[in-house]
Amino acid sequence: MSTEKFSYNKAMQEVEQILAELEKNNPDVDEMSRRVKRAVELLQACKKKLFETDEEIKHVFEQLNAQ
Amino acid sequence: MVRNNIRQQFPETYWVQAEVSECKAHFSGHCYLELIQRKTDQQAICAKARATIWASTWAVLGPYFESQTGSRLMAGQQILAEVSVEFHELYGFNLVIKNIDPSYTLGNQAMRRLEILRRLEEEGVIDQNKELEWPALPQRIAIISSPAAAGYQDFIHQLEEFAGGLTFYTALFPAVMQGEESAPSIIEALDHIIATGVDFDVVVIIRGGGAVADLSCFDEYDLCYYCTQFPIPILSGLGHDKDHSVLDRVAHTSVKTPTAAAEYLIDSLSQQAFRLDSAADRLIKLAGQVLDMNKLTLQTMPGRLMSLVQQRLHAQSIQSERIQSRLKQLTAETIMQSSQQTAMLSTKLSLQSQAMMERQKWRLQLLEKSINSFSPETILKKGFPLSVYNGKVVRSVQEIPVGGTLETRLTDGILTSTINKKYVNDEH
Repeated sequence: MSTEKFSYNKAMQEVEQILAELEKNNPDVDEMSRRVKRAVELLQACKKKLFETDEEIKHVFEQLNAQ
Repeated sequence: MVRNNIRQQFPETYWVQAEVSECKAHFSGHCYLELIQRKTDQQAICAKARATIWASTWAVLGPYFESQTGSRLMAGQQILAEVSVEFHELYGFNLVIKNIDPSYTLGNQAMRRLEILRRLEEEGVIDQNKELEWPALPQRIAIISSPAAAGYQDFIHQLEEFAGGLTFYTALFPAVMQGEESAPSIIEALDHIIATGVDFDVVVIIRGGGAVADLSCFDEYDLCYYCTQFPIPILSGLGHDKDHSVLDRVAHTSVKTPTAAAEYLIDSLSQQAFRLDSAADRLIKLAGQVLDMNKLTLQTMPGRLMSLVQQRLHAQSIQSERIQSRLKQLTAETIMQSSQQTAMLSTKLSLQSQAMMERQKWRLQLLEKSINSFSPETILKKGFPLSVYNGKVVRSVQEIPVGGTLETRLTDGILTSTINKKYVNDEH
């Protein structure tokens, strides 16, 4: 498994974990905003992977197709 | 007569080709069929005959047919059957089936396919590609196809049109997809995929539709074995509806067409996008809940604080009242105690002072007595006269000269005498 795929899975796992903890425990506002900030960062990174083209990968694939 | 005639005309058994149009296994154990033959245009029926498989035959033939073809005997199948021709006065013309050749039904190709599947199964490899974990994001796609094939165009078109903003990277690895060359050509393409060193998420093997015979290349043992051992999940879309090739069976996932393959990939990614959205929704909801809760706490805080203060004040006033009354009680008790003590003391004191007075009185009397005993009167009475010269008591002979007048005082009067001579004691 590549590191990139791993990081997506890992990121989503962390998000799920944060959600589960927030749902289970009753966090104070500071703790919550810290957790939410982290989760939002992770979600943004994941979304980027889904919807934004990685120029480096794109370039590799263009070269493969040109062969 | 008819029966005898028929028996004479058809004394042996015969192999006949026919299509099964009806097939009923009776509870008695016999199997009743209707066999038909169609005209070459495959529609109109030109011959029809009843057929029977007696229970003793059916008990063996039924399971055998099923194990060989993978399907039980049923309407719609083409069979090659060994029959004897019979005629019964009551039931008429009937073919009694002695044997069926399953390889005819399956066709040689299908038999071979089953054989390969069985072999892969025996080797324990048949599910190995399926057992690979399907990637969360199948974005980097290696495509094995013929570049000119309609199937490849369909696939790319679907991916470009319906991805909905999702990112895919595709690389084509051309291969021959028909005929004898195709199996080695696909293996070569698979090797090529590994040789690039690129981290592909999935390999898609696609082909446009075609004649059933064309699928035979996907039933090659070598190719299928290779696919089971391939380290990347394989998605097959070989463009056929009915037939299922061995490659479809060993691939991680198999769909019918190249278009369906693209849909499957888009679905995979869409699910992740959905997962992201719902996680974000949950997060927003949770954060909102926590904020609402805190807001509520803040709003109710002053009221709670007031009531707390009031409670505390009330409790304190009760306490101070209690202390005051206790204090009063204590004071009263103390006063009472001390007044009792004072009374007691004063009694004691008066008693003591009386005693003291008595003692003093007695002492005074005593003193008076002793003082009286020293008074001149008392002394005179005792017979000790006082000698006085010039009004002073004479204690020494030196105090009075010769010729001086000495008064001697007695209790009843005074004697006056003149001093003629003085004798001084030697001791003095």
